[in-house]
Amino acid sequence: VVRFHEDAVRPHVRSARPSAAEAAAVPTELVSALRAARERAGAPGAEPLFAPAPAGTRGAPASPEDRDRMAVLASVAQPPDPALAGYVVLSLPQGAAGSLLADMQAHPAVSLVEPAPERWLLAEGPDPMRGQQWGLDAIHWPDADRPDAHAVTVAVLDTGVDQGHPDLAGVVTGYEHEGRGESDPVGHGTHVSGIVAAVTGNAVGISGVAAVSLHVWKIFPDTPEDGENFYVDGPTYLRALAAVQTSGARSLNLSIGGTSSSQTEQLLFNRLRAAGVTACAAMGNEFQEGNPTEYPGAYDTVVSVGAVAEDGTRAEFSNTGPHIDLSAPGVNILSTLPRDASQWRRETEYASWSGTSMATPHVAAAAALIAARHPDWGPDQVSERLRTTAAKLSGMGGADVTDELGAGLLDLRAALA
Amino acid sequence: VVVSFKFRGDAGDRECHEVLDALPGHGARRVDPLAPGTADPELSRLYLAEAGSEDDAERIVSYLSAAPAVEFAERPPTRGLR
Repeated sequence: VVRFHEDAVRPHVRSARPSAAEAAAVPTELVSALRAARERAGAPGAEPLFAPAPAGTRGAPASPEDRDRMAVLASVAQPPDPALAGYVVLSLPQGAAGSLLADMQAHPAVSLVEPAPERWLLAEGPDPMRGQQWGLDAIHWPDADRPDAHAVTVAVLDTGVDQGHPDLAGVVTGYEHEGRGESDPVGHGTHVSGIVAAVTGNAVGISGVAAVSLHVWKIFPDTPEDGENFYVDGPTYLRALAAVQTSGARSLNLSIGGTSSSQTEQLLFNRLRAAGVTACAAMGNEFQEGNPTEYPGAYDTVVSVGAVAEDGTRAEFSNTGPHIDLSAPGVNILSTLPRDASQWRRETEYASWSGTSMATPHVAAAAALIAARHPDWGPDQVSERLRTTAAKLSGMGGADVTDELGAGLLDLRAALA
Repeated sequence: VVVSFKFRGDAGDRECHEVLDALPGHGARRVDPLAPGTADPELSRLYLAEAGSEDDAERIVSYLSAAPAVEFAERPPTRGLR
């Protein structure tokens, strides 16, 4: 966008609809800034931005220099508003040097040169796949008084994230993948991220549980260690846990597990608790393979999450034990996947996956929303709120807490009431 | 192959440095603080020692576990996707 000083152009305006003859009389020097753009950057001739295009340029062949003159005259002769006089626009190739714009700005007849502002679609409307997200209905998400929590960060330690996914646009405010590729070939981290924070009401895909920001640490390698199973890179994982402490995150999602406890890991979770981070981890999916106790979910300082199916029963794979805090939807959970397939994953964009990995981000997101509602609450209060407001399930037999389902099913409406 | 370990809170600087200096002799290729620059007194006592082999890692764990200045030493936990 180029604006000419009206005073510099006005003396050359003879009529409201400048003719080709009038344009020809305009001194070359007046429009030399536009000529420079054509010669240095290959720009075509200018057009008036607000005023009607002059008759001489409508469908009639005109040299670029003639178009420049006509555009400048028309921009002053017939602006729709005096405040909009003198504006013309010309198209420059992508990457046109900033020095060109600075040189044009230096022309005495020019008062303003700037790129047209970049703006993008902020569509609003129902997310078209929302009807397939049974889990949101099960936790009373539609009726919950959800606070705007964009200032609250959820930390996600996982396989990475496709931060360019349209349903995660603007959500990922931090992504640590040093030493590894930016992509998420497994897709697990992108799926978890979408459950937490897919953009709601953007007329794209699905809705996330919470309108929060995500800080993602990629703690898995891009290829499986044994050709089949992915395991965290130990040092990267431990360092990420330490980094979360000072990241400002209020909630941490860990859709991971293993059977050995670790003093180092436990210490890091203790420090996260002290720093105000509510850590949530998966109970594990090995109920039918011996139902082992899994960490980090089994640490006292971690909220351990089991999975339920759409009928409200414990998912058949979901581990049980006295350390379970509560349950959340974890069977056929629709969420985001990276846009590109990989050697390890054919599905793209969206898919339904099952696991306590999918249940955990429902709770991590809920913890972030509670923290947003009660900024002075620490993890003890947040986790207590999650448990005491959980909905009792028929499988609990009237008990307040069971080893199978914990305190019951996450109830976001009650937790945020 | 990595070993994580933590110095006791009452371990003096000299004791800690003696342990750090001895680690290469037990197979450690490098030793780094787990959270460099941290202001957390607990995290500042955590270290990672990189070993060249499983055998070296076991030797490092054995040495550290016997050192009075060290609270614990262990291999990082195995964690998979759930």
